[in-house]
Parts: sequence; C-alpha cells; structure tokens
Amino acid sequence: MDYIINIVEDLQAGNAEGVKTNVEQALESGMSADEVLQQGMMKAMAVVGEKFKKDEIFVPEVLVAARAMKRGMKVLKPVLVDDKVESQGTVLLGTVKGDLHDIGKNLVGMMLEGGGFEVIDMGVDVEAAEFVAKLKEEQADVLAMSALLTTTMPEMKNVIDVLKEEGLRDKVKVIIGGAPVTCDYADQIEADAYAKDAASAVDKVKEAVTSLK
Amino acid sequence: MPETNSRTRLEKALNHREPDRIPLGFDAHCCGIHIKTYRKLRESLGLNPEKARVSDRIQQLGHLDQDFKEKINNDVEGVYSNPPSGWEFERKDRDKYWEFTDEFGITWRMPKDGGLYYDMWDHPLQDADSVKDIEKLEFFDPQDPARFKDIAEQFARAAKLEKAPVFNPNTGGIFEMALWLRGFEEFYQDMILNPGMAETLLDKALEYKKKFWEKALEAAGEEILVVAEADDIASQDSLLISPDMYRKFVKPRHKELFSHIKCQAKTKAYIWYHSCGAVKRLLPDLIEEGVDIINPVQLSAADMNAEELKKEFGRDLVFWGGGIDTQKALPNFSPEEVKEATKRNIENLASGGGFVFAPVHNVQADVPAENFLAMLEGFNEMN
Repeated sequence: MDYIINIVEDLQAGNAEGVKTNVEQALESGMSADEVLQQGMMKAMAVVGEKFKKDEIFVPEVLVAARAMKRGMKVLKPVLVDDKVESQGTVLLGTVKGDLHDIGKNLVGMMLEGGGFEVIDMGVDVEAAEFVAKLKEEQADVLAMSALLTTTMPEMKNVIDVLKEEGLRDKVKVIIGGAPVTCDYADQIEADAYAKDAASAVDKVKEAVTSLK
Repeated sequence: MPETNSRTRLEKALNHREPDRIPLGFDAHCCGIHIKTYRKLRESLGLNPEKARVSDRIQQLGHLDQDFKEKINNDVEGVYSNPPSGWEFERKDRDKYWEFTDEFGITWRMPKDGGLYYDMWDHPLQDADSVKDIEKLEFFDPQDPARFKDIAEQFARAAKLEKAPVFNPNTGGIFEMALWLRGFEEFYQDMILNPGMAETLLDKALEYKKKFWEKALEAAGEEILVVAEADDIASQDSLLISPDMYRKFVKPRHKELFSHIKCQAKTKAYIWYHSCGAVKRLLPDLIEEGVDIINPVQLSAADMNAEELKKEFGRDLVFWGGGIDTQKALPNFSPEEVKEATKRNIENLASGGGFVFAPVHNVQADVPAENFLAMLEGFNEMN
C-alpha cells in the first residue's frame, strides 16, 4: 500500500518521476492496473480537484499535478489496455468556433483524465460540423464545450442546434463551461449541465455518464 | 481655486474628494470600445461612422476620436507610445486566420470568419529549457526614441483640451509578459518546477518595463498624471496563482516597478493598475506596492461586491470602472435595466470621490448602441 500512498502524495506535489516510479513498483508488486488507477491516480486527482475548488491550490499546482499524472498514466495505460479495463466514459472536448482560448479547457481535460475518462481534445476554434463528425466517429458519451468570450458563447447554442438537426442530441450529454458561462445560460440553450471549474466538470461528467447508463 | 476642467476634476477624484461631477474615464487602457460598436455609436450620435478606425489591434478597439469624446463629455485623453523602429505590423494570411507577430515574437491570430480580436497563438520561449534559453531572448530597445516621438505632443494636446492624460502601457504587465513569452501552462509550471527560469524571465520583463517608463516619463515631462499598467492576476472565481506565489514572484517586482515609475515621474504620478477578475484578496498587497487606482472592479467576479469594496478599500484606492457589468448587463439587459444597474453601481462606488466612471471592460462588439446610451443616461442622471 506504500506505493499507493506515495503515488497520491507525489502526484499532489507534482513529482512526476516519483509517480512514475511508484506506479511501476506498484505494478511489479502485483497490484492490478485498475487498482493503481482507482486507488492511486484517481484518488489523488480527486484530492487536487477538491483543493482547487476550495481555493487551497491554484492553476500552477493543478498543472504540475496533471503533468505528474500523465507521467504515471504513460506507464499505466498499456497495462490497463492489456487488462481490458474500460474507461469511465469518453468525453469529446473543445473550445467553440471563433474562440482561441484553451487553458480552462485544458485543465478540464486533465482533471477528466485524472477521473478515469477517455478524453478526445479537439483543440480550439472547433466548428459545429467538426464536433458532429467526431461524435459520430467516436461515439463519445459527453460533449464538453468551452467559451471564454461573451461573443463566442452563442456558438454553444449553435452546436446544440446542429446536434438536434443531426439526430444526435439524445445520444450525447452536453456540458458547457468558461468564464462568462452560467448555469442559467446552460438551461437556456438546453445543455445538460454547466461546470463552474475544472474540478466540478469531473463531477458533472460523472453524473452525465451515469444517467446515460 | 482654478475653474474646474477635466484634469482638475480627475485630480480631485484621485485625491478622494468629490468633484463637481464624476469623471468619465474612457480612453484609459481596457476602457475602450470595440470597432464594430464604435461605428454604431458614432452613427447613433450623429457622427460620421466612416471615420472610425482601429487603434488597439489586438483588442480591435476603435480609436476614440475627439468629436466622439466631446459628445460623451469624456474627461480622459489616452496617451499611447509607438512601435519601435525596425518592427512593423505585417498581417499574414494563415488559412482560417489572420496572423501577426508582435515586437516580442509572440504570434497572434484572429479567425477570418467572425473573429473579433487577436488571441495568442504561439510563444517565443515555448521550448525553453534552461535559464540560459531565457537569457538569450532579446527585445527591441525599450528606450528607442521612435517609441516616444510624439509623446510630448500628445500631452500638450491633452493640456490644451484641458483633459486628464492617462499614459497607457504598450504591452501587458510583467507577469503577463512572462506568461505570454513563455506560454501560460509552461510559465505556471516553471514557478513550481523551474523557479530560476521563472525569476529570470520576470526580471527580464521588469528591466524592459523600467527602461521603457524611464524614457516615456522623460517625454511626458511635467504633464504626467496617471500611469497605467495592466497585469491580470485573477480569474472569474479566484486568483490565477496563490497569494504566497504572488508575494514571492510578482509582488517585489511590481513594487520595484511602481516605485521606479513614481520616482522617475517629474511630478506626482498615480499608478493605475488593471486586473480583471476576483482580485479582492490581493488588494492590500497592491496598495502596499503603491497602486493608487484599481481597474476595473469586475462586478461579476467572485467576492467583488462594489459596496463592500468601497467600504473596505475606498480610502486607499480609487476605483476606475465598475460602472456597468460588461459580461451580462451591457450586452444583454434592456436599456432601462442598464440605466438602473449603472445608477446602482455609481451609488455604491462614487461617494466621497475616489471613483472614475467606466464600464467593467472594453465595450464589446455585442453591445447594442441603445444600451451604451442608456448607460450614459444613467451616468448623467447621477451627476
């Protein structure tokens, strides 16, 4: 169990090498990849998310934790695939058309990966048609859209309208976020959920995926 | 007592005394109007819309012409430095985007289809690996006379018009410069993983700024009044970095820069400081650093209640902005609602001086002309 404790501690401290070594050693000691993921990585990222929500840590601390997590996941992922461990769900992520901001979106992506989700990050300035094509291709459970500008927020509604036209609206949960975005706005455009920050996004995506099952 | 003009009006507000009316602070940094809305406004006010041209390229703000400023009774004249010699704006065609590289080597892009601003695309120190890599980066000379060739004239014009000059910055603050040069995620991580690199870059930015303002203030001469610096340290809900990290990396350098500016200015200069977002937790630090004026009072951010801020910090800080929320109210409210909200905000912020009216941020492209005019009506009714 020491390895797990170390993973949780090293990840929070942003010690990427430490996480990597402890993941390797945990696997060598006979722990299953799923156990290392659930008890180590996901637990640690949940703590990071909680602290971020409470303003105990800030963006830099989250970024170095996510970097450490990625280092560990590099070791863990092939083993998870071999063991046929399924992810918690697939999330398609992107900043909407006309908007080139990505730090918030990237944080959401990192926290989701840390929550055990498969994240397909489509980057910034993503057109509705691109979201739709990728959704069809990947059959993602959740579409997570970001906008930082009051002037690009309306594009989120446009994407939802296009989903409806394409008959995809019932097949995917839509979650939105970004500085000017509010819960009211999510209701208004009939998104399924609004996430206030990257840590809340993980909770919302979990709820969404559960409701799909 | 000299007769009140825009300059004396502003001076009074800056000294926390109530002027004859609240000063109107457009044309200071981040108190601008998007070119699209500016055109509409000129038309609504009976001014020729064809005349409108862009002044701030990145934010796509309109150059606020004298006829417009007279029409709205603006009290401020923004003063702007020029690009260095050897650098020229060159717009490149990049598939879906217009692109340009600024004097620092930062690449900016604006979507051709429906783009309203340039946003950062690439950072010159993205791949830096060591302190040496940071040290190697060279800037255009911050003291190049080309930058300051018409500064004296701009101040003389403001004086002739009896307006209050605000010397606007030519780029982001030192923290922003570091983030923009290195890339946001990289610099944030440097502060934990490679603090030496972070300190080196911040020092470089500080050196640039100190040198820039030395010459800028020399050119401004005795007419100097307000010096603006903009350095975002907060987000909608919180701070971008922890208070401890701010105090370790940024605060000492902010303090050094602001003291340097005050020291180099030929007469008293007020430090005008912009940060969007939920800055309340760091206001005591900013006051300690020598900040006199805080912009914008982002009413929609966490813990940024105007009434409470005025009560807690109104003796030490002048609030510039906070006149109307620009995320929801100004673009989306009805004109009547905009007017009411404007009056409420003024009530919370203006008593006893220490307040200059401006919206929370630039008036964006999604603002109807009627709403802008309703805001002005609310402002005028409170005077």
